[in-house]
Amino acid sequence: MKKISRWAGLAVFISISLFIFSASQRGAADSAADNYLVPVDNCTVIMVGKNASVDGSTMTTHTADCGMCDWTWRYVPPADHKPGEMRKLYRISQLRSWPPDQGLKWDLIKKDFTGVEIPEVAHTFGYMHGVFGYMNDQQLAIGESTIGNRPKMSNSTSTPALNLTMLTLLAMERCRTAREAIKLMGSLAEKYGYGGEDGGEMLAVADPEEIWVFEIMPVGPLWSPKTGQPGAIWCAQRVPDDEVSVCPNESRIGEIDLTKPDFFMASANVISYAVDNGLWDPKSGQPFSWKKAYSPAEGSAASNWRRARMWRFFDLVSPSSHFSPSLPNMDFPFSVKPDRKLSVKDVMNLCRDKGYGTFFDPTRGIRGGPYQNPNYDSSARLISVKQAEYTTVTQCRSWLPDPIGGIVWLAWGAQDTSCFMPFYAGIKALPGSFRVGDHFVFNRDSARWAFDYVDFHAQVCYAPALEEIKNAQIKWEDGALNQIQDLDQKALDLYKKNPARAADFLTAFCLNNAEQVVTAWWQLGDELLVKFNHFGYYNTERRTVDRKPMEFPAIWKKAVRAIDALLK
Amino acid sequence: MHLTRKKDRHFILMILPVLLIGLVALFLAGGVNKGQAELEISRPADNCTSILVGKLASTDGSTMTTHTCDCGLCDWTWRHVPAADHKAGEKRKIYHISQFKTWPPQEGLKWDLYKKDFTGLEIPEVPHTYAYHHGMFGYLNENQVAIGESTIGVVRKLENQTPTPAFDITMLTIIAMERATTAREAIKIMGELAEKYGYGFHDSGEMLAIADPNEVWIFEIMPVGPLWTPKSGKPGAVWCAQRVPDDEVSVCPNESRIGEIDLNRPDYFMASPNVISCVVENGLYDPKSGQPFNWKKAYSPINESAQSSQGRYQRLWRFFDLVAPSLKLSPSTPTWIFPFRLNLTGSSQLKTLSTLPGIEVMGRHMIQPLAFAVAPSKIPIITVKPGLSVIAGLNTRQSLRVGAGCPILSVGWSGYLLARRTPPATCLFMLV
Repeated sequence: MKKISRWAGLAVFISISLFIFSASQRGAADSAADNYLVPVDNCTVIMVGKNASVDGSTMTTHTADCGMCDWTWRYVPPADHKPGEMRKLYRISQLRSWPPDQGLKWDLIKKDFTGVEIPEVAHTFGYMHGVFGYMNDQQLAIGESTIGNRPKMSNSTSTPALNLTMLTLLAMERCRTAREAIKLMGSLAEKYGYGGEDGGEMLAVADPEEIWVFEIMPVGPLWSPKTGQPGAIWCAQRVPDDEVSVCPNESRIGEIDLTKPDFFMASANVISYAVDNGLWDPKSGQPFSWKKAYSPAEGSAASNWRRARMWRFFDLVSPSSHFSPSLPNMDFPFSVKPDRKLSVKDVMNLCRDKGYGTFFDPTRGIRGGPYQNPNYDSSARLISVKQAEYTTVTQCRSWLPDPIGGIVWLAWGAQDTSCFMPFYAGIKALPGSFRVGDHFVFNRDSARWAFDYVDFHAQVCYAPALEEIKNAQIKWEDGALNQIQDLDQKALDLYKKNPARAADFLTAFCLNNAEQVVTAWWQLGDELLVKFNHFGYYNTERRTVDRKPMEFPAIWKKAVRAIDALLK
Repeated sequence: MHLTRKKDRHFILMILPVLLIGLVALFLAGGVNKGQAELEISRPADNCTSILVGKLASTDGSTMTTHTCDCGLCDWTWRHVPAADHKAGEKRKIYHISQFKTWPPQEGLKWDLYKKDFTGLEIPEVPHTYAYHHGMFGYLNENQVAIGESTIGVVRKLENQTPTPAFDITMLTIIAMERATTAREAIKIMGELAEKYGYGFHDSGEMLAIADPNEVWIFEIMPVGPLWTPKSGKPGAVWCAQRVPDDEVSVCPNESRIGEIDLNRPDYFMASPNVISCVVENGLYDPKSGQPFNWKKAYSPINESAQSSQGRYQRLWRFFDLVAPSLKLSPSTPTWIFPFRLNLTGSSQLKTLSTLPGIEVMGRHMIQPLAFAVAPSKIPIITVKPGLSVIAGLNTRQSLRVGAGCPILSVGWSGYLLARRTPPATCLFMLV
């Protein structure tokens, strides 16, 4: 009885909140021509301050949840440049992909030269990048999440020479610290204009000491360099060292205090643009709020399940705060002190979160089918989604030299069935299998496809297949995590003698590990195919079929009977 | 369940007599059932279906056989065996071949490895063996002798799992491929070898569809119990074959399909000499009973219907309903009642069906799984369309015939009677 009333209560709660939500949606549409821009919910960024992590790392994550983008990664070596050399700026779309026979994205982007060249610097740093720059050899780390902007601010003309991808590449090439990167990206965007392919965007920018949320918006289609006005508007806020934060495709910076330069930075037009465009009235008595002015987001987890990530993250890291799912996302704090410090594995698990056990659990009831598959029901948006291109977890560690201190953990494809592999900041190459592949042509030479191969075969009998995959993750992912301390020490010993030898050592380890993991995942895909063939459970050692573990759970059988009665 | 509405109470009163009759019927049925235990057969795995199409029942004049080989963990490999000439005095070795055994790939291929299981028996080789394709069984030789297979099981006491019999079904089909030019030849070759050298070990009751360009036959073969030896002088197998008429189709869904036989018609029936004596000796058939000899009832009886088995024995009904929907066959008809084969062109089969003892023409899809709405799984409820009769499964062994005009009724395995609509004044029940 208690159970029933709880469910009934929940149903009432849902219907009321749905009603309120739909009513407020109508209200918003009626009242404001400048309505809310709902960003594609395609990326999540998590940020961990150095005193909020178990080992003192700063961490950023980026789940690149496109589902049809070019996913390829490459390593760009450091380079020295002569005075007078110029750096060309290219139009780079986050979303575009090319048929493999036409070539690789990072060659093909050069066809989209903006016509703008900026003075090159004397030395550019080596770095790793995929859709964005992620880590350079100075331990500058980046993660990304699209947040959107007021529609009138969009500038999809070709006038702005800079887009977000290009900005992150330049930051990788030129910057040692998060603050440097923010200033560089901000000033270049102001000067050459920001927009084209991108709208409102958020970057997590980290170095071993600090993590910043950097948000940037275009300034409307009428901007041109000749106006003398900044071609972008941006703002940055630092995550306190002992706190953690998240960006689930929603602007996170609220009120700003530019008198505290260690915590806030912004473009000169940060307030004037809002005033000039009627987005904030200084006489209203309301303080200026960056997100309210430029990228307001509606709703809460309870009112819009697609916006459940904000609540879910805060509730996961700080259950003691008792955040409510009906708290509007705009009212969540910028950051929070976690109940306990987070390890790298904790952060990986956050990236894998599917809200199990919560109201938003995609396998709640019979939503997951007989094998508790979380991929059928997408009414709620959790951090882990099936269409992830890849997930990064970056670590910056102040107590180690930069080439050893920085690590990008990279997992291809859906997080639940994938495996994080470490790549040190100082390595001199990435696996060739990371450079190739796309969504429309199966490619056994592409690392990503090995993980999709496993993920695909996991869909057949999800729950038992995931057990097999977890065993592989324990072996390869936890295996690598457990080796890090040893590797650090060995690399450090070598580094003290000769930094180049440390780089060679780390490169060899990372490439070798990645190759082993990719090979293991191809094999795992084969094994899943054999084991769960015909919905059987083929015991490959005993050469028998054991159908017992494949039995449907009681709730499923019950539901089938209930539906029979219903359809009678 | 609470039947509290007035209408329901009224209804309970109305069906009370029906309920009583039902309980009596159940009691009687239980009495009849006692004899059934002996007829327990080694239940065949539901692992293969064989469909047979006569040459005048196919659009292009082909005869056709099928074999869906539904094992799930067997060796699936196929190979071609070329034709060969043999010198006088050459011998053909006979091997034990399991349908099910597989070997890890690194140990080699099945069709090399089975040679380790030599039975010790060599039979005289023929001067010329034909080329053929085979997988688990022989399927087609260069003379267009074609084979399909379905395991049907046998009464348990006739099983022979000792290694005494030299032949199993796979080996028989391979020899048939090597030596036969027609379906009839194939049947004779296999039948005679099985009688002489014994049949069983890996296999029990088996059915083969055997075709050549003109004829399609159902060949069924059984072991004769574990005590048989070649020295007994008795046949080491019992077999029977019936031809599918040229303009008809048939099916074998892991159930014996040959019923009464008429060996006076050699173009339609063949059998081993012990076909009747074997069951008489084993107490499976009493010639004095007044009942005609029935091959499947004697050797491989199954008393289920699509309905009573909750779909497990539904293939027979499904096949017949698919190829001849005009017959409106009911899924509650026990499978042993289904005809041997079906004429697709006329309505003559309809007549045959309706003259079978205790059978009326039945409505399709009148059985609806309402049971779950009432009580889980234990009470299958059968609804009947107005104006139609039904064979309602009272339990697995017996059937109730319900007279025309009884709109809705349901009969449960354990004596439950439930109803949904007010029945008319008369409901006729007859035990058949």
